[in-house]
Amino acid sequence: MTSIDAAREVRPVAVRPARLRLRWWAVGLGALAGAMLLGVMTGPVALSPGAIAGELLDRLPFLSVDSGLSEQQAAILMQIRLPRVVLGALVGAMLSIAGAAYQGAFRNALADPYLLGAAAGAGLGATLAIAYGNAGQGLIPLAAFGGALAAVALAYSVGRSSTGRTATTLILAGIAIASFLTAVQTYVQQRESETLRQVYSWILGRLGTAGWSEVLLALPYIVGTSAVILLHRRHLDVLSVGDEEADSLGLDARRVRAIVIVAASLGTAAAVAVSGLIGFVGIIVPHTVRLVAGASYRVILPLSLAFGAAFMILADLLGRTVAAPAELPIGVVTAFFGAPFFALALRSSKRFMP
Amino acid sequence: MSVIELRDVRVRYGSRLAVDGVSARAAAGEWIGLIGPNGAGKTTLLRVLAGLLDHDGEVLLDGEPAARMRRRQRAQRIALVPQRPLIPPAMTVSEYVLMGRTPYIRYLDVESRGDVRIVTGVLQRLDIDGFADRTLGSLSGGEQQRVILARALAQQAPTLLLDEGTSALDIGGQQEVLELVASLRASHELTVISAMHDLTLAGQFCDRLLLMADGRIVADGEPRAVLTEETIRAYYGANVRVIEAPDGSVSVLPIRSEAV
Repeated sequence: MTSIDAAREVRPVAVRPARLRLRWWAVGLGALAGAMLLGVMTGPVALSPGAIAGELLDRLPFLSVDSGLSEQQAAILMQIRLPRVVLGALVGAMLSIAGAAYQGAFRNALADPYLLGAAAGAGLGATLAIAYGNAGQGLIPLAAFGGALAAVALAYSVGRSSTGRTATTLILAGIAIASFLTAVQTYVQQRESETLRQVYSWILGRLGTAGWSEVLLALPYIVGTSAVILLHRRHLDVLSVGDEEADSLGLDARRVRAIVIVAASLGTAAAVAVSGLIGFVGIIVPHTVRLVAGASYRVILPLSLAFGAAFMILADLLGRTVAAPAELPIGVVTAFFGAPFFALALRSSKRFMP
Repeated sequence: MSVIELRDVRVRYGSRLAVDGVSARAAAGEWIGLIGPNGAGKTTLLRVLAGLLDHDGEVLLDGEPAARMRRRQRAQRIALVPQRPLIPPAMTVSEYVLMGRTPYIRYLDVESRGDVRIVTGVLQRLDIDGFADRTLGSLSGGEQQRVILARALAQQAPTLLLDEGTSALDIGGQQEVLELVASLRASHELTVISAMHDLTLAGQFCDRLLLMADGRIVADGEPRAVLTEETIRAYYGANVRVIEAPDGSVSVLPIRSEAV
């Protein structure tokens, strides 16, 4: 048999589980560090890298370093730029890993928290809580989470029940759900106009007005849900052969999907809660990672965190410098890059998904 | 001692009974061929055995009710090569075959060195260790078939279910894969249950054939007994000649009816 003979002549190649190579770790962390540095340096008051490093070291216990920054410059760094950059990093990391998680759970390369309606659901949930809930601030994140999860469940069931289901069916369903939820939300906002300002600041909550309190609000959710998603990296790879085969390999595909979707939706809700509706990050970042670094979720998930954080910081930087002193909402910047990218992804999605 | 036993298994798809009261036994080390016309219930029966379908009646593995087993335990005993496996084109051969170790890896763990060693052995056994780092999308149909078989072998299950695993291959490829299964069966003491379309191949490779029609087993026995011209006409509506070789194996030849 010729194929056997041919195979014998080839030297054996070592069996290797997919893993993130050291050099990609380095590139990911390097990109994040570079973006963060650029983000805190740039602005109406320029700060030098040396002074920033000195100021940060000075804040550490038992260290005293003279950064050379004035009190005002130090306040700009610590109270304005740093929380904004950190929050941007958290939101970008979360939306990217959530996008990758949805893509794996739904086996759909086009899934994204924004396109699936999760972000719009979170927005509506929060609006309802602000307008009608008397329980106060504590209820808002929970309502946002409920809305996000309900929107994804709805998009999934609508997309699944349609005949001739393809990767785009789910996305069309998601966009329809998102439009509907946004319409409901606008209606509620108009009816309850005395809470309009609060809703607006919440929904559009740009990174620009953010301080450390927003960082602290989102941090536990984002870290927790990202960790849960990362722990399922091997399972998401197994899901890529379909539910039936995953089940025959001893993995409960439906349970894994449920866990990953709940985590991604909770994380998305937390990100929306502090940043407003930001689209396309969850598709641009994982897609790029898939193209350049590998198709395994063991590679995609951690790199999406790092590149997503870097991407969001740079998008925010662009938004606040391109038309300075005015600021473009960050969602406008991500859509400007994301929509054409989505069109490209749509053309090539067959290559990634069977 | 019988490895697998089915007791009055029924599967309903809506109002239709896809499997209608099947009882059967497979002895350890036996190769059973499931044959029958399209829609007879062969694939459904294999999916029941693999634990993928709700059903009435009982499936016993080594005397234990399979319904009470955990999914992982079942996957350690039964490996399925599906009819049309989903092939993620960008996944490497290593990664794909390592998935066969899923039933042995604890929930939040990843593959151990032992798993890597087992998969290395399987790839060598199937002569595909030369392309462990190639992506599935770059393989030919026959190579993919080997890789899928390798994943099932990595499960180290004593029973292998093949659902028309070879129907996408040409005649040489089909023979090659079935010969491979035959030699694996001997070296690994596997019980094999395969749904097959090609009656000649079924007759030559299987110890026993179960002929299914409308969800029931209508004939059960060694190939010579099941593959008769009358039976095949009755259940497939096909005009064939059955030729018996001196060694007792049978070939089924389709014949054009004279009156056209």
